[in-house]
Amino acid sequence: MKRLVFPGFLISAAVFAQQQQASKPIPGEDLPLRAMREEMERTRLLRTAGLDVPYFIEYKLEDQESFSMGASLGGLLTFRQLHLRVPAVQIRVGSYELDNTNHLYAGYGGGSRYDQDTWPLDDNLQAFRQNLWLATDRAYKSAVEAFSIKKEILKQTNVTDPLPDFYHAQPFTKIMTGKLVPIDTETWKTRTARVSTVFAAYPEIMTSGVEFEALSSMSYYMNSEGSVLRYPDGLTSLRIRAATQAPDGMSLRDAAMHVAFEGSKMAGEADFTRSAENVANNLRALVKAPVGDVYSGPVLIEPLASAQFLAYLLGDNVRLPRKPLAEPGRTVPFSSSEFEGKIGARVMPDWFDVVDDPTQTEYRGHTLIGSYLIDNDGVPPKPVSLIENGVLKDFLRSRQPIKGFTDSNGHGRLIAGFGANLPSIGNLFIRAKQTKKLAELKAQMIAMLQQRNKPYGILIRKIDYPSTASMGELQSMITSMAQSGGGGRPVPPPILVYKIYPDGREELIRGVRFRGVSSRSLRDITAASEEVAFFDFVNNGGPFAMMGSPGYLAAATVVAPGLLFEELELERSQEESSKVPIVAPPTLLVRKP
Amino acid sequence: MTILNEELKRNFDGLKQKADPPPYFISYAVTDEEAESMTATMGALASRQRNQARILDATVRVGSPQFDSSRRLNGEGLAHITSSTLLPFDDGQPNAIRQRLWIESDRSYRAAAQRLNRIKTSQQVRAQTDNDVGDFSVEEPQKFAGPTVPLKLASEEWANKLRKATAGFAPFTQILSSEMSLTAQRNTKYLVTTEGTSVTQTSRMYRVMLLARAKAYDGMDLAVTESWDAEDASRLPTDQQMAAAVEKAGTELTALLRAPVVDPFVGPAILSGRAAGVFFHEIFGHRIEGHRQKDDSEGQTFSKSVGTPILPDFLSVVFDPTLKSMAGTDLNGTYQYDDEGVKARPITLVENGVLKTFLMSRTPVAGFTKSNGHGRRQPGNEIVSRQSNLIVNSSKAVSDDKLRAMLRDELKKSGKQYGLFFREVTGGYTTTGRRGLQAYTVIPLVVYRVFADEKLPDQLVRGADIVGTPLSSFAKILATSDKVQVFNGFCGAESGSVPVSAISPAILISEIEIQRKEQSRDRPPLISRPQPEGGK
Repeated sequence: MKRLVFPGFLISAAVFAQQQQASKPIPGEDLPLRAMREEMERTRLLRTAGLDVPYFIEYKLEDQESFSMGASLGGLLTFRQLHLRVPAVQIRVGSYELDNTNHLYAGYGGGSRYDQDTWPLDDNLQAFRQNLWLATDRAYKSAVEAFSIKKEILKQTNVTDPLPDFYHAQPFTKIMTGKLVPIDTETWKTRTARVSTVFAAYPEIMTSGVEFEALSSMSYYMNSEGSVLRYPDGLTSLRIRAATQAPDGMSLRDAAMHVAFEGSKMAGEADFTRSAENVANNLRALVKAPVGDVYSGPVLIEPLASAQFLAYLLGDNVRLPRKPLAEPGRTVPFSSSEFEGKIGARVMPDWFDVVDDPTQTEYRGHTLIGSYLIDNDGVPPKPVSLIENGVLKDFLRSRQPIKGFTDSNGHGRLIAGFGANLPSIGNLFIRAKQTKKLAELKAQMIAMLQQRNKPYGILIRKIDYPSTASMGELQSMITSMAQSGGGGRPVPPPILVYKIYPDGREELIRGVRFRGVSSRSLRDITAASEEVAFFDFVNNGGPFAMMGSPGYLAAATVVAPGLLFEELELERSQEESSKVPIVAPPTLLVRKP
Repeated sequence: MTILNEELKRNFDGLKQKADPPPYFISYAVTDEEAESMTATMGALASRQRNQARILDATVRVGSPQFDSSRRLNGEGLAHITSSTLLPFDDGQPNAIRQRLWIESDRSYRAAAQRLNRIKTSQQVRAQTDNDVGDFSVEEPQKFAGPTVPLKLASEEWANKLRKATAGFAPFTQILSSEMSLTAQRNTKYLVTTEGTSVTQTSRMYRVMLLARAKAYDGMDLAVTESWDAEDASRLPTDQQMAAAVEKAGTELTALLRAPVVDPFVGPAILSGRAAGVFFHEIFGHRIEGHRQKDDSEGQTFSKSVGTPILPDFLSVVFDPTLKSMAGTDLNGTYQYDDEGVKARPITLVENGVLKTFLMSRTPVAGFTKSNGHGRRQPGNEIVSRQSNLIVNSSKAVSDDKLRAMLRDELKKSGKQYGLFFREVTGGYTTTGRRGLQAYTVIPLVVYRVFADEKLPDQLVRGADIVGTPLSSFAKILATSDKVQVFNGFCGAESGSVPVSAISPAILISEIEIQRKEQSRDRPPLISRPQPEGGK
């Protein structure tokens, strides 16, 4: 691979002095914005360097207070409080049509790094500018190098149907005031620890924990197109998780999550305790439950499980990731959307509409946590009508161009890699225009059973999404699902699955997963419930949105009805499990509050 | 400690009764880590952190000391026999501690039992190696409860000190990045074993580090560092000392930017005490770690050399973890008991040039069946033999002036114009594997040319990279200085990062080979530095 070596010349101070015309302060400007403006101004000098010209420069800063802790059985395992100012600089050279991104080596090169990965905590204009100056220099050099690699690849490659590299977007300016919301760490410390003691009364549970995480930040954004933003942001979550083994060794787990924009909007401790008790009781019941069998027939998915199911099946498919350009013959690990090429095609029954609308903040008294002001590209979100009357109409889009569309709809919330942002859902509304009471759906399922002479049907009450499995467990789960005869992509397994007998009796079973289920299964929904569930979660780009996975976070709310399928398949999960511990568990002290 | 002992007994008894094969040894090592750190740059506080964690390392051994689950299989790395997790750091919560000890004991037991089974199967089909020395040495159980010392740091005061000190870099406009950091760390280690060992010990260290980096016009990356270590915060540097160090680092780095690039060179050189310490640690120290003599994939440089001369006869090398300070500096590699609960003691590795023994953990090697208290690890890793405080003693010690005179004599003998003086170096990880070249990674930071003509002043050069083979360079040590210097650092290897020290006098080497450092291709920033407000 050819590498570009930079000519060693420094744009002299004299040229700089000539060209420097101080830009006007932005109304409401503080020190970080001033540093951004002053350094953005100086990037004009890069045009005189005789290399590829930058056409888009973006500065971001997240001034963030974070607090995270974990507790198990009342004991504190981790406790971390941090104040960080994390900058990000992006430079694009070339043009909107063809630039340095969207190819396998887009993040390549750059040489040695001198900019620090965080800005000082003290307000110090000179240190802020120094950091931006060095980061800009590095980003520019990498962009030029990556662009030259891309041009080399393009010389060897026949690209059919070329797409532009970056959508145009309207500049957007919003300077909000406000301070970082302080996090009440002491209260949350005792509260979290207290909730974690719930599990001491359940000796059959082998591991358990409660994690609390709060982020409070002031976000800054500026780009060379004229967008300037400063806005407060925050996310607070409490995660409860527990795991154990059935007598045959099968590993079992359950979890619950509470999410809000800030700590003061979180549910109360009594709700957390109830959630923890639910998780514990679910596991207690699962340990005793029989293992399920292969099944093919009617399945009723209750509203909460349905919202989880659709968050995954629709959420991962209503965007169109773009395969990075690579040299001919090079295999690039990549998985596209199941909806690719299906615009105009029926993907759900014609009595369904699906809309993603991050501009709404509340629905039926429920705060929608998938609302946001701008996405990672600095673009404000628009409501997107994804599916109308069962027909796929649109995709969620970032500024990374995709076939058939000409702009972003402000959904670039996660990282796609290769210089682009990955669209992710905000508030996803799944609306059925024909509904029945949940109880009627259950009766309908029982009628189907009798008609088809089946001994039982299946009811699903909860799905492992976001998954609380460990990375190792997830890998073996996904590998084993890929080996299933059912085909299709791995789908998060159900946690709470019940056999429904013709007399209406429910029997919990464990150890089953979906077989051959994909977004295509959604065309065969038989009926939907009047009742809807609000499912709040944090998407993070990890496999099955793995709980607590680091990186960019995109909070989302999914509003969905329960779903009845005439025919879905389940099979036994195939992961190997180790035996239960040899020594009896220790005796835990249960202290009543 | 009570909970640890209770659970140790409960799990050991339970496994002995019900498990097949039963374990013969269990240990619980618990490390309480408490750390505070802060960094400043350009007069501003850049970051600040406090961390607290309690880490459990549970080890279960199955089989017998003669043949157990830790035996290394052909072509495999270090055996994983330890299971690690976090424990709650508040003692008032025994539930989570008990539950986690139970789970990790079971996990570690299962891995051990499976492993022993695999080893036996593979042992049956492969020829026995010549002399089997067993897998776990028998040691006297130890009881020790050391005093705990608190981590005391005047945080606000130190934040201001670092702000003030780093503001001193302002006049050095060619420096691209500069920072000073302070790290305060306290570790309390608890160890209980089914052999009856019960050890509690606390270590504490405060460290101030300075780092300044810049890029020469040709793209070469340059750095200057300075550090201070102290067991007590009162012995950390004063404002004046830090200001002087900033001034010196700034001046030196600026001079380095303008210094000529070295030419490839073979000839005599002096390594300062600190440089020689790193040199011994990297090139010699890593090769006399006991476990490396056992592993077929390792170079085994010194495996068959016990009892034979490996260094000039005027040099001896001692490892002494019980030594607390030297030449006014607190030592980083100090401890009372190693991580296997073996009492620390001074060990003479090389006496008058002759190799006597290796650094030993409880993993025996041919000819050495006992530990000498050097089994160490960073929590979360397996224990292997590691270095502590390395001390180079010399019976051919001369004054620094005399050492220089000897260098000039060498130059005259070989007709060379100049030799080299390595004042500051930094260590890298030594490749000891057989596949890799046995080249050492000692990275020179500050190097001078010393001219044969003593009227010429020393000349700073940049871009020196040492080449050559480790063994040959030791034979070429001609003499040492009579003053020692201390290098404190952290050494990274299989068992993680452990604190170490190297103490050595300056050494004169008759021949060292250097080449030009491979250069970074990117140039200094294209746009000039932002001008300070009100600046020109």
